[in-house]
Parts: sequence; structure tokens; C-alpha cells
Amino acid sequence: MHNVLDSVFENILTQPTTSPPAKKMLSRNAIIAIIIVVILVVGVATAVFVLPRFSKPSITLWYNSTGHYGDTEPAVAQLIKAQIEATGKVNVNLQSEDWATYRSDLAKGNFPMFLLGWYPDYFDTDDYVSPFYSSLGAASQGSFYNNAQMNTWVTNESTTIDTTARASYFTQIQNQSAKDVPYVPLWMTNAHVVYDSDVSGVFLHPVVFKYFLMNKPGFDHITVGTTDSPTSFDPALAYDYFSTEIINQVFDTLMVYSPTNGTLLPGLATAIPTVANGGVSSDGKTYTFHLRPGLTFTDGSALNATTVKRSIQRVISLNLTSSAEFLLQNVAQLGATPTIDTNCAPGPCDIVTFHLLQPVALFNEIMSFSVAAPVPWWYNQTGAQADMVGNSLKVTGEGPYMLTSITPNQQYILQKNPGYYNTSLYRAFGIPTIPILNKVIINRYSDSSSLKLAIQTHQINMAYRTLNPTDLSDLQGSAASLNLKVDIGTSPQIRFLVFNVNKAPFTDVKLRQAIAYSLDRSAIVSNVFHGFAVTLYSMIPPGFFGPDYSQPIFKTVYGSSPNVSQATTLMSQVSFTIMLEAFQADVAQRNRF
Amino acid sequence: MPKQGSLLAYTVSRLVLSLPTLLILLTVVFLILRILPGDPISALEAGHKSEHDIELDKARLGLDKPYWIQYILYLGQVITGNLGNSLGQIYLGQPVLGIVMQKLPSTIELAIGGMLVATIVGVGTGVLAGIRRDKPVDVAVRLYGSIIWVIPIFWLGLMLQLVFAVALHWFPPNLRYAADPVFFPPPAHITGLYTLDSLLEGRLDKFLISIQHLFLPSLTLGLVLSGFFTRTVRANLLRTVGSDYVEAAHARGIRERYIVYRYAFKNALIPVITILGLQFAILFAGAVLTEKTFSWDGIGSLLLVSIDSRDYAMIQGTVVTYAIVIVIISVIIDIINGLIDPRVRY
Repeated sequence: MHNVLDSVFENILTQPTTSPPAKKMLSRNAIIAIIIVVILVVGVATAVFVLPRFSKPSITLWYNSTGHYGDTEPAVAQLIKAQIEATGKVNVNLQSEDWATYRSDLAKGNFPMFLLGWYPDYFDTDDYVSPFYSSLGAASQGSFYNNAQMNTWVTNESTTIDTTARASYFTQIQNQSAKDVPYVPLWMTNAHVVYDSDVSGVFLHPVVFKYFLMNKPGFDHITVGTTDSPTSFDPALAYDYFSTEIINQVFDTLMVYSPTNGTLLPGLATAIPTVANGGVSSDGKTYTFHLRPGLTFTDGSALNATTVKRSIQRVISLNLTSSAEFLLQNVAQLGATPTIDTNCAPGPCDIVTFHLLQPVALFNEIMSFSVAAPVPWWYNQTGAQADMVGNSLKVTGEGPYMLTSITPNQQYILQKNPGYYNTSLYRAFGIPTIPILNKVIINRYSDSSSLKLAIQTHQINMAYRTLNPTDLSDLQGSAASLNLKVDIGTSPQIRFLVFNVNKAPFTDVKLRQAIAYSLDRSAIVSNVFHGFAVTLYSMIPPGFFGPDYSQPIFKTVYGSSPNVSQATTLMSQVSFTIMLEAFQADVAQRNRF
Repeated sequence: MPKQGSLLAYTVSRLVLSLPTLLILLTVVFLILRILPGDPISALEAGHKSEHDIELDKARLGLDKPYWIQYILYLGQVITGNLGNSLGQIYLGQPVLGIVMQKLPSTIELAIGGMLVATIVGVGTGVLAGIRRDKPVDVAVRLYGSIIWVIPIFWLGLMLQLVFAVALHWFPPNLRYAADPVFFPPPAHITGLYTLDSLLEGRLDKFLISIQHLFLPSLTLGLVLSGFFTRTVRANLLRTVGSDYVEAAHARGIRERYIVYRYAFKNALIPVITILGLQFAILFAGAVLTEKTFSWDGIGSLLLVSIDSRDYAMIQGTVVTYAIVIVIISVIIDIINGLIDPRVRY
């Protein structure tokens, strides 16, 4: 063969010098060029069409790159990539986006697999179930999980107050979640606060961080630092942690939380409605609240049953963009045109009755969320109430503090409400009167490192949200010498991996299960979070609610440490067609940018 | 009509030339924002509203229209001085112009501080190196000029914070004004520049607080820029020192010190003033990182927040403001340059 080729080339390349040159004879360079082109074409074609069939398929893991979940996210993504790749069956590409695009893309179903987090809106187990396992909630989380049986269980648990029945539904939901694996629960973040050692009354409450319980002897105020940015202090619009935290200092709701846990206490209402005290009808569809007498907002305007009714109607009719309106209309089953009765015409105007479209077990919890806080009559009824109009501050509540100064994205000042109606609210807990400090000044810092410097140098008395694990670990180590206290508590925020079950290759449950087998939560907690996080084996975090329905189902089914052989076996069973489809979709997705 | 070559004609021509610059910048920013994935409404509503409702809200704001129509509408707005309303979460619905004007003074204050540091350090070290050519001090300054130029702003800022704020407690680590709001509230808004406003208010204590807060960010920004000045001043000083008129001065027996400061230094500064306009553009870019490092609430921080939320109106407004400020400063520097060196007018 070699000789034949040699002779052919020789004939082409070495023409006799004596004969006249052929008119279309190819030069040596042209032939070499053609050979190179052919090799390139064959090489590229092989790379594009043939090699992928024999190489490892790749899947993409998306994460947020702009610090929405702190600056640990890239490290978490890297670790998960390594854990999945340890199966030897797939390559994992990492892709990231800024939060705005990320949120939009995941809701559009553009991501096959991604990291997400959840902070509860209301303090009930349902808030960890319906947003994930009902088909409506799952679509907004980007998993597009749809299981009719799960929908029924979710509806059932949210419409009954029978704890035994609820326990049964939550067990079934968690068991099914481990079979279908639209999500893999990974860890619970820790709440943390660092403060001057002489500050007292600091509680890492799972729902409301209460400044009005704090004291610093010899001082009438404390200065707090945060990296959070608020959106609005109108309860009809606010739906982010910092905004609702401020609202909770300035506005009270019908019921309020105990200083240390999720137990509800009467707030603006005189009692917590129950079936036993007649506040809840036997069919669970009517809730009646009796208001305390003589309530007023800090501007002197009246707070009565009509104000409560109008405030709830306002939230629902405004339906402001990215607000928590859906909690009232959909979750609390008040509907688009809520039926709310009062005893105002004629009457003392101190009773308000809500009629629900169907029974809701967690109605009291939703009415304790900031979205249900009553606002004065004059609040804007056609849009969100501006926090400031010109230089005049408009945020007006009736809570322990008044918001007296706003420098947007820079500084917020809370001042004691001298006419607070409920100063002895926590007397039973050994706190004779609230609020204790005259003033709380909240300064905003751009990142964790700035916040750490501020508390280190005592520019602030307290750093609350959010120090990264490295900074927190440093501060913990030097707390005594810096005269600081570091409190670490469990946070109800959960972090998890989401699979878009409509997007190849995650349409195949075996691949989702395989990844569940391959993940090592302990490594994430220790390597990335320096131990400032807790491994999580169910989407329902344990230890937060009265009846604890959480079961570590992913530990039971997939084990507490990675099972690589099981993961590999399952991945081998995923069909080649699905993986190839995923590869092509993956390339298309990346080419989008 | 201004006479050709007059300072007025020169100024007018510079101002007219700046208009296409602004238009091009505006167009590029407008297009890039639309080409990039994501939009403000999806950023606000994704996950909370259905695709259909999101599309309706986009239509309500005109974001469903073809880009060229959106562009013409936006240009029409800008020409009338309306930069639109914010579409981001933090400033939702508020007029962009008002927010930008609120933040601009703090960035200008930082830029002025940074430029002061850059000029003092850069010119000082440049002259020192120029008059001590090839001596150890020259080598050291040249090394400084090269190294400081490439040090990342956030790293230098952090180091200065650790040394001067954490270890020595000489300056506050960050923020623009962190003092007891009862006894030392921020100065009343007159110009928006805290240092100036506190003096106008007659409060020396507030002035000192403002200066204390301004010092570390200005030092960070100024030091990084000073490297360029160091090298430019040194090179120009060496060039002028070797020129004919300096040799002539030497021949007349004029003292070396007098020659350097009276003749060489002044002439060496002319090219430095020319590049000052360009340096302001770099200064403002550096201010974005400095503001982030020091939690400084200026338009750099505003730009970063707006990019995160895809706030088209705010990003465009911020960039246009940056451009206008830089153009104005460039024109002023060009005029000064024209005054110093009339040749540039022809």
C-alpha cells in the first residue's frame, strides 16, 4: 500500500523536466494544503459527531454568581461537580448567572440542574411543601414537577388542622419526594449575629429578629450593620428579609411571635383564634379576631376592624409585582375578592371576620406575616406607598419602633414609639417593657468583608446578616479579645439542588436518584461552611415547628455518605439517547450566550 | 461668530464634538443591555407571576416594542431631560435623575479626593525621580510607579483598612459618614459634598468626621492612579531637563534648583495636564471598585446594584451621567490646556 501511494505521489509531484508542464497540474504546496484541509475536516467532523458518542456525556450545574446566597456559592458548585464526577459516568459543566437573569431563567425552565434556596414566608410546615411539590409551586421553582397524587396530599395537609392527619400526609409527601427526586435537600444555613459583649436581649428568632428586646447598658441606642438591601417598607410590597424585618419593628400584626420561637401570641388581636375559643368555625373556613380597644397608628389615625379589612383588601387588589400578595389570595384562600365582615356599622368596630374559600390550617401564621400588617387609611390605594415623599417620611405603623430616617441603601433609623400599645407583651418572658432602647441605627455595608471590619473596629455594635463563613470563623476565634459575642443558631433557610424534570437528561428519574446517591453533604458543610451549616435530608427542616413533621428521608433512602457504586450503577442505566439529547441541549444552552 | 483659534471657538468646538460621543455611548449601552440575557421585569417577577403576566407587564412598559422604537422613545425622553423611572427593586418607580443626582456628589467628592492624592503623590515622586536620575531613589520610585499601577484597588483598599482602621484605629474602615446621628448628623445638603457642606454649615467637627471617612478611599484610589503620574512626570522632566533652553540656562550659570523648578518642571507639567482628562475617566471607573470596597454610597455602587437587577433606566442614566461628568471635566481640562499652550487651539 505504501509503495502504491509513493508511486502515485511521485507521479504527481515529480513531472519530467523535459516535458511541457501540464496546464492544470497541482503544485506541491496545493496538494499539501488539500491534505491539511481534508485532515482538518475529518478531525472536526469526528470531534463534533463521533467523539461525543464515545466520550462521557456532560450535564450542566447552574448557580448564582452575584452573591445572592453569599460568596460561598462557587465553592459549593465546585464541590458538587467533583462529587457527581466521582461516578466516572458524566462530566459536569459549571455555569453561573447574575441573580436577576438566574431567577428569570429558572422560572422559564432554561436550567436542567441548579442550586436554589428557600426562606419561609409563614411559620408552618406547609411552606416547605406546597411551594415545591404542588405543580403550581414547582413550576415557579423551576423543577416543573407534576404528580397528581402529590397535589392531592399537599391540598389535604394544607386544609386540615388535625395533626395526626397532617403527619400522615407529610410522611407520604416526603416518601414520594425521595422516590421522584425533583429536589435534593442539601443543608440548612446557620443564622448568626456578632455583637458587643455588653448588648443583651439578642435572640436569633427563626422568623423575626427583634431589636425591641435588646439593651446596651449606659446607651440609649445601638448601631447595627447589615449587607441586606430593603425594597420597600409598604407591607403590600415588601417580600425580602430586610424589608420585612424593619416592617416587623414598625408594624404589628393581629398576632405576633414569642421572643424565642414560633409560638403565636396575641398582638393587635386580644386572642389567638381557635376552634375551642370560637375564633375558628368548625369547618375551618371562618376566622374571627377581636381587636384591642383604642388602637391608633403613630400619626394618631384610628386602627379598627375597618382598617384591618381595608388593608387586606388593599394588598389583594393592588397585587403588586413581586409582593407576597399570593399568600393572602391563594395560600390563605381569601380569594381575589375577599369576604371580610366587621361590626362597624353600627358597632364598636373591633371585630373582623375572614371567610375563606376553603379551610386553611396555617391561616393564623399567614396573618402574622408582614403582608397582613394593617396600614393607615390614607395609604396609597392605587400603588405601593412611597416610603418618602420629598423629605417627608411616610412609613406609619403602630409597632414598638417608628422609622424616623431613611437614607436609601445607606442608613435606616428606628426610634422608640412613645405610644406603643403593648409594652408589656413579653412580661411573662421576663422582659418587663418593650422597646428597651430609644433608637436603633442600621447601616448598610457592601459586603461581608466591610461588615466584618466595621464590627472588628466597633464602628457598629452588631453585625447581622451576612458574614461569610471565613469572616465568621475569624470573628469567633477573636471574639474574646475584641470584646464581642458570636451567636450561632439554626436558620429556617434551606438550600437544595433542583432538577428540571421536563428537561433531558433529568427526565430520567434514575439520573436524579444517582445524583442523590453521589452527594456528600458533610463535605459541603465542613469544607465550604467551616461547620456553620447543618446537613439536611428532607425539604422540611427539622426542629422548627410544634408538631415536627420532618423525616430524614434522603438519609434513609440514599444514606448519609455518598454511595458512588450505587450512583454509577444507576447512571449506567440512563439511556444513551437521553444523554445525547442532553448533550445537544447543553451545547445549545451554552451557545445562547 | 467666534474667531478661529480663539478660546471661545475652541471651547464651542469641544462641546459640539462631545455630543456625538454621548450619543454613541448612549446607543452602545442601550443595545448591550437589550442584547444581554435577562430584563428588569423578569428579574422582578420571575417565579412570582406567570409568563403571560410578565409579558403583559413588559408590554405595559413598552419593553415588547422593537429595539429601534424603544431607542427612539428613550432618546426623546433623554433630550427632554427625563431619564425615566427605576425598574429595579430598590428604587422601583423613583425618577432616575433624582436618584443619580442624590448619589453623584459622593462620587465626585471621592474622585476629587482621589485626584488630589494622585496628583500630590504622582507629581512629587515623579519630580523626585526626575531630579535624581539613576540614583537609588529614582529606581525605587520607578519601581513604585510600576507596581502601584497594577495593584488591584480592592486589595489595596483592604490592606489600608486593615492597617489604618483595624490595627491603628486612625480612620473609620468604611462608609461615607458613620457618626452618632443625634450629636453629629450628616451635614445639611447644600452641595452634597460632605466636606464642603460641613464647612458651609460652620461645623468643623463634622468636617473632620467627613475627612476621616474620605481619607482611606481617596488614598486607595489616588495611590493606584499615582503610578501613571509618577512615570509621566519623570519622563517629561527628563525630556525638558535635556532640552536646549535648559542647556542655555545652564550655560548662563543659573542654579540647578532654579532651572528645574522654574523652567523644566513647569514645561514638564503641560503633557500631564493634557492626560488629566483621560485620567478622570479612569478615576471614575476606579471609583466603582473603591465605592464597593468602602461601602461608599455613590453612583458606582448604584451602577452595580442596577446591573444586578437589570434596571435598564438606572444603568443608562448612571452611564450617561458618568459620561457627561467626564466630558465636562475633559472640556475644562482642554480649555486649561488651551490657555497654557495656545498651540493646541490651532
